[in-house]
Amino acid sequence: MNWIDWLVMLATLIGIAAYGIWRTRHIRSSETHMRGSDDLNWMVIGFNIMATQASAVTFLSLPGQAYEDGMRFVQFYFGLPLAMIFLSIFVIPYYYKLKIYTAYEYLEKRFGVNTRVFTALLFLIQRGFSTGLSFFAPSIVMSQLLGWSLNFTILFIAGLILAYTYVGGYKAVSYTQTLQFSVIWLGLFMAAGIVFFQLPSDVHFSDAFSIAGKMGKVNLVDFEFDLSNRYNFWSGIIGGAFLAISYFGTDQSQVARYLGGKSLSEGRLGLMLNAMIKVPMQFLILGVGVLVFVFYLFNQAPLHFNANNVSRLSGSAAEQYQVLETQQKVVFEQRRTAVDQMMQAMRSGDDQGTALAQAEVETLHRTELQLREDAKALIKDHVPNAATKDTDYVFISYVLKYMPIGVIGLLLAMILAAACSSGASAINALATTTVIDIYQRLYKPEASDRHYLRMSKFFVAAWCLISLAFAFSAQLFDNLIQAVNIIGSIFYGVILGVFLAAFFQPKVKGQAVFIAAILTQIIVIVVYVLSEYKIDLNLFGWVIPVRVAYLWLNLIGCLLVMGIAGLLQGIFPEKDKVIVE
Amino acid sequence: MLDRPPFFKSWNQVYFLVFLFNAILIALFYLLTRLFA
Repeated sequence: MNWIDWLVMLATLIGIAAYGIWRTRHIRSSETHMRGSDDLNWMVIGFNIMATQASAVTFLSLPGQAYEDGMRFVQFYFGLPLAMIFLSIFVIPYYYKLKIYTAYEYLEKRFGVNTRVFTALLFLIQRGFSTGLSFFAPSIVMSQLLGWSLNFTILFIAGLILAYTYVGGYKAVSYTQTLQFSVIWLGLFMAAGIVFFQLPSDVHFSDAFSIAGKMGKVNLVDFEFDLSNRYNFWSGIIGGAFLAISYFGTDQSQVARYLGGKSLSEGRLGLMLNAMIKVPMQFLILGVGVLVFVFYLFNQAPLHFNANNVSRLSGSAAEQYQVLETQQKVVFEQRRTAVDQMMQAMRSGDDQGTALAQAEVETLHRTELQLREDAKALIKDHVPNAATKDTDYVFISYVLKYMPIGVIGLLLAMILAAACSSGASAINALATTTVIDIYQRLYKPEASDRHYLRMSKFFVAAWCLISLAFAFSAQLFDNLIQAVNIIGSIFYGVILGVFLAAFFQPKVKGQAVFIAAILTQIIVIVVYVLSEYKIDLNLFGWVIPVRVAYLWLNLIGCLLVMGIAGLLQGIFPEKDKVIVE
Repeated sequence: MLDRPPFFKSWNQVYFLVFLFNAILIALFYLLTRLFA
């Protein structure tokens, strides 16, 4: 990497962190450190919400996913605008009315201290673990590109986050996220523009999309209802809305973003901004991946995108790899000719010629895919412990090889800025929840503001260390994204169930929901273990084979909490009053 | 809680606008899918 790229990357990242520290160096109040000073306008709130959700994995994985699978993943976000409207109508007004620090405080007003602390603990476990993995996952890719060790890369990301989150807490997270989000957009637009201008000069924008469409990459909307199809319109609208309500409505790292607004209106508008920009933003990221795909129809792509795996091949394995590369070159040249023919036929409106050329392109493309699989098999056989899935390297290997000097630095800064923006939000939320919902509520309710400020800073550092411990032990997990989703699914459903019971079951009271939450959490864990290890449940001689895919645990957890709580309330009616109407 | 959005008469108008924007966007995506299939 050129020194200019190093300069751009480090100056951007360190500059943003330094700005966050400088702007918040005079913070002396625990309230400002943990929840800001209620002065954010809607645009900043919207940017902060989006910056919190956008992680480094978003920019590493999504273009690669579009390269392989097309743009259908965009449907996953179709339910998000509905979720934003739902939260704006039913949830935010309660939070603002009560002037709370964390979402879990609301639960105490509604159900009592037990439910508040229990739900906060579930959040801390789930978010702490996933924050650790969010340090680890991008570090695997970035360490190879930057030539740093894996542990140093993890420490670099965590160190940057710790520096400004420790000093300025919530305010520093907010200031830096606004800048980080600007870098993300700048990088995205530059990447999209540059990929497009690097296509051959006779390939117009409509040609690029026509070719991608013929290759099945412009598969944006699929209305067919099919439960086995992970991404279609219906799973996006229903499943996507459900997940977005639980993430944006109950996860403190998001709730904190819109609680810091000047007024309820600003918070609501921030959510509306997210509802307007999220889908186009995902479209743009996936669009970059599709443009990279079209680019590689005219320029030879690497046989395997993870160059580190290839460099570890030696002797006869390296020779076999070269043979595969030579075969790929021949296939590429033939396919390029066929793509040219298809483009000419499409331009002249020759449907028959288009269909013939398309069939030729598809056949050659399948041959190339088979060569890629052969290369992966070769790597798997000869490189011990090599992860052969190279989707996450598609975009970044393109950036390093074809982007101009300076832009490479900016795009690497974009990916690391995204890692910092989501990580810092999480660390700030973890610290605030620990201080407000656990430490202050259970151990030290009456202490000076200075003491709570010290504790807030202490827990920022502590959670950074805990997340680091998770990150360093993450190598034990085979599939990281899956590990995050499994942990999330085990706890998120119960958390959402408690919140939905609070909002929509006015007759249900504290004791019922607390018992329901504990019972459900145990049931969900048991169901997960039985499913994972394929153990049959034996109920008095009645053998039930429990096999539930982990994503369903969200729904099961949520419905069980609400169902059991309603049942318990009906059987053992309590007399305590509902505080929040 | 009394709370009015800027430039609009009510929040329902804002929600409708957001809904409409996304509905048009999805319709456009559908058209693109069909057009480039």
